[in-house]
Amino acid sequence: MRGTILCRGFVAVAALACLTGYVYAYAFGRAGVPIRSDAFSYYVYLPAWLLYHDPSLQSVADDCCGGTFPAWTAITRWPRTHRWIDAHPIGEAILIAPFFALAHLLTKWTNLTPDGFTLYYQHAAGLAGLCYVIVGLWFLRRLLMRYFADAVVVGALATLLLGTSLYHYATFDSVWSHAFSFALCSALLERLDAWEPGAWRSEAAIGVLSGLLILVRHTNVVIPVCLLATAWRPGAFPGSAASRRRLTLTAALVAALVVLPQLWLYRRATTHWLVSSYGTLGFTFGSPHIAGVLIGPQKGLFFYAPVLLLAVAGLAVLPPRLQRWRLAIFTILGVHTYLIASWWDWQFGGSYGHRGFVDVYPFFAAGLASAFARLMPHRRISAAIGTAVGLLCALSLFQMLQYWHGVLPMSDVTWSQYRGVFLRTW
Amino acid sequence: MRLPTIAGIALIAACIGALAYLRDPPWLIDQASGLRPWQQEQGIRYRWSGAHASFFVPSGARQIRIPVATTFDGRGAEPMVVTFFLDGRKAASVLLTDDRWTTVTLDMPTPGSRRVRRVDLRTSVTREDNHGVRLGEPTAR
Repeated sequence: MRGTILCRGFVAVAALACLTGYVYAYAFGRAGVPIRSDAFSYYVYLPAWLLYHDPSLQSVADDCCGGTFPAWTAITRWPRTHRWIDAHPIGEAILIAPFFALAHLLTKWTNLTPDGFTLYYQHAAGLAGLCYVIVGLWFLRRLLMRYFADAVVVGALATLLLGTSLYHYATFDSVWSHAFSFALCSALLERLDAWEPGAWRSEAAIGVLSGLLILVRHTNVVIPVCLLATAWRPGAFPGSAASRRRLTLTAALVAALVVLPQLWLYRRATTHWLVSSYGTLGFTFGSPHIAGVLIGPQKGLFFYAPVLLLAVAGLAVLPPRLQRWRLAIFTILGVHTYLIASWWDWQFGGSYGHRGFVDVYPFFAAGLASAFARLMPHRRISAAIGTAVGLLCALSLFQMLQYWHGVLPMSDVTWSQYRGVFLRTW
Repeated sequence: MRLPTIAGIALIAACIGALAYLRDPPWLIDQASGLRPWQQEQGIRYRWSGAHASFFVPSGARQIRIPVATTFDGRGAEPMVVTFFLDGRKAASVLLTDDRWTTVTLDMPTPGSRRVRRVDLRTSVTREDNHGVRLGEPTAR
């Protein structure tokens, strides 16, 4: 019973911890406004659609920016049509919409300017990202509780939140797309894991989650494809071939319907259904920076979140019922890493740790829980590992604060720079 | 009374209290959007606006006088219409054809139930890098 309370209370404690970080970041001027940099172009659809009723984005450009979006917004004019094309898709805006509606009502109530970018809109978007991270943790907790003891679940989720950049993307940079992808990825994994034949609502929900994942970041398409492919592995899913076929088709059809508005927007702006919204910027598949994105001091995933090495080891020893996901998870992680490492700006600009991996953190949660469960019976080893994990979480939080205070550079960190600022306060 | 009921009542009461506070919060007078930081040139303190900016003025004033100017040089020399709105309603507009300072007077309606009124300004054109008008310090009468 004590364990259950611990596990149930974890999400509330995590929410409170994230809210504290959010207030610190914004009340003490560490971050600017929540809707900044990339976040602007993920969010801009909301004022365009709901306030100006103008899917072309021109009205927002006129109001905010004198008719032309600045280059940093990554919203550019398509060469032939001269219409605006946003490098970032609409999924995040759809997820923020309920928060936006509430902010709009409050804005009217207080008599602030209802232009989509004043105080309440800013923090509605910021808190939306925070809420979605909490929702993601809630789904992960639900998934892990099926297979692990409560203490293991809490340990794994707390490690994921504090020992990686997840806390940063729930607070300081919460309007970036990663918080939203994290939540959708967690929810999709949990819903698929819980799937039973004949549950059409669950199948439709899986389709909606898959579609939204693609709408938040198009490269996320690999996640639902690989997870749904697991249904076709012999013995991996319950039910007959017909029921699994129905799951796949329903999810694919619903996901296609969810993605359709994005294709319509592309078509409207460019006369093409499928475009590279980044224009000439793209992938360098022949020369991926694999070491850079995994272990390099610039942005290495394991360099800034070494606890995830334990998660990778844990993925090799998943409990029997979770093992059905292992091939899909390793395929997703492999493809995801290759895509990130091949992107022209493989560091993804300024970020704490490599932000590209936040989207797939839910898979590492399963690995962490699995590793903790294996180590728990060995008292001495688990005490040593527990201490090490605690220290690594503390280091991650400290480095995150260094980043917030401008001690740790936003990108292009060299080994000598890293050593120079290691454990330096602000 | 059961705990969830008490919590529900407390939540509703908190929401009502928050809404009552947010209708006319004291910090509203310091809110602004679309304005760059203050700067000073030839003894005049001003902020650059974008194409759209907003700020708040005391609702008790009878008149608000706002100095405005913009640049006319190689970065843009088209005449600029600056339109002012009070709480969303058009209040005044001015045509700027040279770089001299012009004072716009906004006649304020009788004070309402709020301590402040919102002033929005929109410019018909912008200069380079979304610069609208230089906005001097508003004075209330």
